[in-house]
Amino acid sequence: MLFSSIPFLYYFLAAVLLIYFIVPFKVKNLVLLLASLSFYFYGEPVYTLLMLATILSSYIHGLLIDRFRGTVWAKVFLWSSVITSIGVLGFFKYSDFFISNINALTRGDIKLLGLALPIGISFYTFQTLSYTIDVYRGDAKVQKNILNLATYVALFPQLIAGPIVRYTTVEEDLAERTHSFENFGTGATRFIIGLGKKVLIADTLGNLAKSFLASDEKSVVFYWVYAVAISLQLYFDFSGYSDMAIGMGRMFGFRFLENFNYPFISKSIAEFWRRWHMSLGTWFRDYVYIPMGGNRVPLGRWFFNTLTVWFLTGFWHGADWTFIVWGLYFAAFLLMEKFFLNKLFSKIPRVFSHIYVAVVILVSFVVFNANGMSGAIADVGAMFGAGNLPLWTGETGYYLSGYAVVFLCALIGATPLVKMAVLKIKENKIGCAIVNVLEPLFVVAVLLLVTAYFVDGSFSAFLYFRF
Amino acid sequence: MSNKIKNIVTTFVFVGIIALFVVLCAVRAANPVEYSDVEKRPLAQFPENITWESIVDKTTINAFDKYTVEQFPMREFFRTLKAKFALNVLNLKENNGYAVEDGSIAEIKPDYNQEILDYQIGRLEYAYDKYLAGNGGKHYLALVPDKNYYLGVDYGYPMPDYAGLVEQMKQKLDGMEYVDLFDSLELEDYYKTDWHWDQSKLDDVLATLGEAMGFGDRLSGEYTENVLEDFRGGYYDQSALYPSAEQMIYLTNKVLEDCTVYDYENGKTYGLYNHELYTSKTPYDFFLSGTRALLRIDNPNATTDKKLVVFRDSYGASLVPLMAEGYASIYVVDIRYVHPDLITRMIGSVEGMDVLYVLSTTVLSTKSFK
Repeated sequence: MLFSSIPFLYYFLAAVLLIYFIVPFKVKNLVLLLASLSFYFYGEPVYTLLMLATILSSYIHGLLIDRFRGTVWAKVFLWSSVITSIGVLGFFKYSDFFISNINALTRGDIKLLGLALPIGISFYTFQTLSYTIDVYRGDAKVQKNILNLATYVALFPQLIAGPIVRYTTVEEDLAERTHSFENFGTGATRFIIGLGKKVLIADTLGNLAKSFLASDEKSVVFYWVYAVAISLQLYFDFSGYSDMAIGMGRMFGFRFLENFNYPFISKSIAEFWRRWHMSLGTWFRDYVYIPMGGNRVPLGRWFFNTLTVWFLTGFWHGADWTFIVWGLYFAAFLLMEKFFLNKLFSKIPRVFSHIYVAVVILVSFVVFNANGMSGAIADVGAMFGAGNLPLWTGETGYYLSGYAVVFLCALIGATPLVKMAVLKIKENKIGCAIVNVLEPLFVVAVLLLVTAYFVDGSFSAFLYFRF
Repeated sequence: MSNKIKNIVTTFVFVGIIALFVVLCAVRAANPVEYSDVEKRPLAQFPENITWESIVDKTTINAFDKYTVEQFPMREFFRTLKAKFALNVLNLKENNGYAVEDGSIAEIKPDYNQEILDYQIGRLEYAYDKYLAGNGGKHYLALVPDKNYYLGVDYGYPMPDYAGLVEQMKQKLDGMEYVDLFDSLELEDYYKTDWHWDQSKLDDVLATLGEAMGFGDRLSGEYTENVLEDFRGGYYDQSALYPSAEQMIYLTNKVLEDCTVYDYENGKTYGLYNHELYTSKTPYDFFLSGTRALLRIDNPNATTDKKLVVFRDSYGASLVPLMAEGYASIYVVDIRYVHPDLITRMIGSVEGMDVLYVLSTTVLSTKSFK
């Protein structure tokens, strides 16, 4: 079930809110768990059992790690947990990738499994991994109440597209949390902002990307328009989803960490990744990069660590060489920044840093969205004039002018300008009162508009569902 | 308003809107809408025959998803809200494929379907080769451009390769003399809320055809303009924009009023214009009673004994009446609704008759032939 849909908004969420807020606190987690399992069952009836098995596995492993803490068995159970989780993820997500590569290398004919990817498996696997690792490290107390652990893993606001919520983030909230108008009001506003970002901006830019792909009048400029469109689409789609997750979590009294922080204003790729999909970046940092030694190792080892982390980051996004290349592409720029680019950019006007980041990011998302490696090479080549394409066509002008307002809104929305303006206005008492009057009206307007888009049938699947 | 009050108001507003539509959905569930007149199709109903298997394989879940969207209350209000937001606020060029220029709505299609076009051409070739070629008359081919041609030419919208389409038709139907109507029309010659052309603005088309086919001298060119109010074409509600209704003007004179139309399907005879059908769901059926397979227009005041066969679609329905002055009889064939094998069997010999194939590019690339 998509958040951006009539069944979710006017059936599922309505029912869950009603039941959740009329039952006493002690059964609220049970309500959330049952709601979350129903939510998952609605989208993936068969794989609900897999998720339950994953929860049970984490629960038992957590208990065993805690029970044998200080002995070698704790490490054994930690590895057992990691292998089980990665094994399940690998089987469902990467089997066909490995089989097709083995076939290609050996000219073999091993039949592909053709398994459907369980929705959200990459997210909830990483969440359960973080739980058992944190229990092993002593960063989190073991959860003896399976209901609470299951509620954490299955919590529907962040179940299928993140952010990757660490157990330690919601550990206290699971036991005790506040329900208030402040939480609900700010959560509802955040949810609506996310819904608007997804439906009004991301999906509209998605239509432009579709038009580009279907066009037989492509040009070099049209390729760049497409690159900007898909980059902004991905940002508004994914950050919109994170907003909805954070907002709904807040409505139910949970406080999830931020997942995006205006990544397009970055002056380096390193900064970009500190602002983009922050929960994934910090996950790899804390559970892969630092355990490997981080940057406090010899140069060669650090080089290896960096490449490993970005190989895995790319591979996490999808079982295709395109994604691996995409991850390693970022690794290359991160290494270059460390070696010489940062020094170079510190000596020239800041605008060049922004241009550099923009070009690197636009190219990266063209690769990300490409149809295989050959498609990626052709697309990136065409951006730089390698495809014998004209610089400009009539269709380029048509789509550029047609989407000018959407681009403008998206570009402004991708920066902190609006947030800063609102905060500035709220410094003044009258300004604050005006903003506070406008905010509920904004909620009404966006809610009605997205409903109009749903009814009109213009919603589309979240892009990050495939990961 | 303080932050505290704002959060209370936001909470009630959010919950209130959700609750309102939950209630309206429940009301609609008790009285579901069965058919959409706008979309001309049945709407999804609450899934039936629910079994464990149908849930697990997601048949029921998908059906329920569809049901919730299609039965959502105030459907047309929301469609209009979306269309106006997309076109007027986001300033997009089109919404769901509909664009508006100079108040005129058109459907934007960057391409035509070559497979369908090949089929349509094959059908015309069949009729021509088997029954009509070598009948002693002249054969003319005239194509009516879709409105989107003029949006493409005048406003830069993407449009199909019309030059290529025309060239294919000319090459494959090379026994016909091509009459170019593209330059005889402009966007204003079409209704604003419909894809059809406006009969009262076909003087250039008539002149072009009249000159090519030699009937122009036999037309009086004098007509009375009759106005029908509240014309709402197909794009009126399909686009969800619901603009102002417009006038439908039809042309009459003494000769046209005396013409009779014989319907081979039901054996009935009526006039060129059917007022009853103007109030139907497709008011353009006013012309020649709409989608009729085979008609014969007889002109008792004809100054010639020439007869004509016209292969047409709905565009031809409003054009052919104006050509009636130029012929003693016109056989009007809608090849979408009658197989070519039946035509000569029903109307008899076509020896010596000229034949006009006047077809719209829209119909040619749409799967509508039987």
